[in-house]
Amino acid sequence: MEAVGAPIDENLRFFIAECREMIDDVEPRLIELEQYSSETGEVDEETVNLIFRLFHSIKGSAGFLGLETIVDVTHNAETLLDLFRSGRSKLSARHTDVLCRTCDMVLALLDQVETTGGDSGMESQAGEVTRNLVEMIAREEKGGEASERGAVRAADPEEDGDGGGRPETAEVIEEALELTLTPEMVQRFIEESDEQLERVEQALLALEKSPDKIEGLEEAFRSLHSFKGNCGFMGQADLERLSHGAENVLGAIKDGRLEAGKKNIPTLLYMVDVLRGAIAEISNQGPGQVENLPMLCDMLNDMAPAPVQEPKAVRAEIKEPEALWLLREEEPEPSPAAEKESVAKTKTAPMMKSRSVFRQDIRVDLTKLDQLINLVGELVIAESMVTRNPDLAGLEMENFDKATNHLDKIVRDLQDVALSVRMIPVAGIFRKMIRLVYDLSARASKKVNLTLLGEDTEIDKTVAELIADPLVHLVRNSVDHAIETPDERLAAGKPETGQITLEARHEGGEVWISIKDDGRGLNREKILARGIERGLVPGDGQGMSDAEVYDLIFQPGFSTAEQVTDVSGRGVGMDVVKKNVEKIKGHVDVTTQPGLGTVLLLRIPLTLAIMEGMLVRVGSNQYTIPLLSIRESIRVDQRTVIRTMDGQELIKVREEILPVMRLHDLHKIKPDFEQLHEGLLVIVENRADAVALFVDEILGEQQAVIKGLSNYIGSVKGVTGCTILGDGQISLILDCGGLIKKAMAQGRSATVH
Amino acid sequence: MSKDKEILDDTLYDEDDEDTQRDKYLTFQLGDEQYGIEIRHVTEVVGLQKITSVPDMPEFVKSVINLRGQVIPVMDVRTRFRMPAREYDDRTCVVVVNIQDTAIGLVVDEVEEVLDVPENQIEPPPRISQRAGSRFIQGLGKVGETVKILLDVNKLLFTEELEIVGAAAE
Repeated sequence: MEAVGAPIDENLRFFIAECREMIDDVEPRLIELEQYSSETGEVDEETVNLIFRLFHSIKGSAGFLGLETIVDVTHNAETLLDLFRSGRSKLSARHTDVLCRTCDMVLALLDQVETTGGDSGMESQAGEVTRNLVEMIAREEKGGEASERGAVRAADPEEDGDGGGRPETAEVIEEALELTLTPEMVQRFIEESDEQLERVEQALLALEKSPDKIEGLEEAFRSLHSFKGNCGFMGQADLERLSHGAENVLGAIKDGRLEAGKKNIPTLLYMVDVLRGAIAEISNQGPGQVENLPMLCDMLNDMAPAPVQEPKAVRAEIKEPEALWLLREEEPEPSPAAEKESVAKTKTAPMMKSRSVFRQDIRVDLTKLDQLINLVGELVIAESMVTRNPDLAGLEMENFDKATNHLDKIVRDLQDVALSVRMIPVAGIFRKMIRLVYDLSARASKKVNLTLLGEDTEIDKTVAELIADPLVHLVRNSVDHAIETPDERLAAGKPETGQITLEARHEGGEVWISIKDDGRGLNREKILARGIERGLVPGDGQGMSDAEVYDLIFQPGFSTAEQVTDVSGRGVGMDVVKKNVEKIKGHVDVTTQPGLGTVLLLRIPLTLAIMEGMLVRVGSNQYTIPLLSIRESIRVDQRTVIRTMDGQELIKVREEILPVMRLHDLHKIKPDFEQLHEGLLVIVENRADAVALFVDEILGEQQAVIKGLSNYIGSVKGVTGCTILGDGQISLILDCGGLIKKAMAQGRSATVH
Repeated sequence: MSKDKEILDDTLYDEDDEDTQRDKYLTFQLGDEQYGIEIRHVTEVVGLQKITSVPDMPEFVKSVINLRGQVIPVMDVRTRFRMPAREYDDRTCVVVVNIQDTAIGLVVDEVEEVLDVPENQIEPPPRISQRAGSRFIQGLGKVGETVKILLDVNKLLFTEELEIVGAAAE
């Protein structure tokens, strides 16, 4: 996201990064907390305190930076949490839901800050979240000592959030005025206010006609309430007070303490007019003051019996269910109760005690890290050029050799450390899945238990960023499509709760991340049918192996029409997943057992800077082939070579027939051998395809520090970069995928080599 | 022409001794003529070493060399000028230029010397022919009795023809 308008300064940037981290930390804990609470009926003190502290920190910093909306939202979250902290309330799914949405709101506000330098412009959304929180708090309190807060509050970092309300004063409102109001914000406020007042008016008019129909009341109340909130944010003190008074009256009518009689409605309508007038004044660059404000407020106060504390925005007894989340209450709450069994079975205390590993950290600019790693890479090459310098060939230098061995070792160690600097544990991305599964399973009415293994496994930061979205998509697929509904599962003899396991581990030079589910597995027939339907399969696909069929799901254009849910709002298809993984030179493998489950495996190279390669020679040039792509290498038996009439060479290897690619032709160099049987064939593969590369000689394995070809050259088909060999020679790194594509294309275009 | 130079001066990376580098040209031999390029673009001159060819590249930029650990592309200037190719020998050099943050080596027959060519000694390029090579001429410098063809390094490197590079390599 680029900063538009006001450039954001260092403090804000730091704040944003920190807050995001904190929210990332809070979310999984919230869910853990709820599960623990439903399991044991208690609230884990440590976790609640931790979450409370996190919100408090965010609030404090936000206050310091003048980000009122964030302060307001987090403050109310704090208050709610405090109820659980002090044991006054039990935590349930509803609360977690609202708190999760609060987190979402804060993230959205942070985005806003990032683009505009401030958190204004989202008052209505934030206001709604705040209102939910406040109402929730009020419910819990059950009309006891009023500890709720109004929608407007002061930026006070010292607030110790124990729920003690501070009476609104004019000073507080004036502080809010210090917010820099942009013209856009004002415009938005005016537009919204117009709508809101319109609604209030309509509702009041309807009420006048039929005083016993109170549905419209709800609407009026809500709109007026939001309007009041906005006024507060915009620093319109007069409007706020007046609308507050009107709100009280409406509230009294709603509760039945006041009749919606002939006298009251006109007065309220008059108030709406006054408010409208003030808004009009504001849109004409006026101050938005209300004349005779005290008198008007008194009028309203007289109307509504027993006015409560001025800032009180919420009635203690809410009779009719309002917010969406309340509806959840009516459903037989599946999540917490059912979780109990599975929780007891599969989850253990460790999840609760998932320790915050206390490390000494320091923030480092990524560009500096990149520079560091580049230099280390150069060092490795330079060192190699010294120690393997052709000038030294044949010389017997014992001391020199000893010294170079030592140097060698140090440089390699340095390289390892430098690379590890950019590594971060996958826990970061994995834990995001907790919230995801929670939301998805609720939405899809399925029961899913998520297990995370190997969270400590480290991967390169760039890699982590690139696989985060694919992982989200794959997990989403699992919940949406793979895991069956509880009924289906029971009917199939499976436990009601589906299992999804995310695991990360190191395997050779790669990191393996697997997503395993015990759902319905992939249906070969269905996939094949759709593949044919979408024109991705030549013929009827009879000869296709299982792997090839399952591979179809990654083809662009395969995307199922059922692709609905967009939890994160991004339309990511399986083909994008594959593309992203291949971007970081990884592979995706699918294995499945119909009815039993599916395993998706992402294999990703540990680092993008070095790779294991096989050095081969063609003529006087040396090329590096990624070790992972090599299937085998063979000496050619002339009898197994076939030549098509177009001149393309094919070779039979066991049961397969593979195209042959002459590297010397490709690179236009003179080879040692022209006859296939004199040289060697290196069979490389990419996914299910393979090709045999004809080389003169295989020189051996070596670790190659990958260097890009100059930007001037751009990208070259069949080459993914180069490396510098010990003797200073450049060795191009071959891209097997690209070569295979070329071979296929050659075959089709019938061009002779 | 001088306006372009001014723009170049403004946008190119600063050099403390830019003043002392102005009007200085490194001259080299290509075929029968001598050419020159502004010294401030030149970072070094190296002898020819092993070049590695890269597939699917246009004829004039088809190789790379290893310059102290850096992989830089190499342009055969003869090919760029559509001149007949010549066997590389021990006088063939690579003039490394750095422009717009890109380092490129220019293969030339022989490097001569660094000459001072003040602006008033430079004639504008021939307008008549807009043919291949002529596009790259920045001006014609008079040095004593001889005339050196001064090249515009930017054009040499980045002219339209290079868009074919982008398309071919994809």
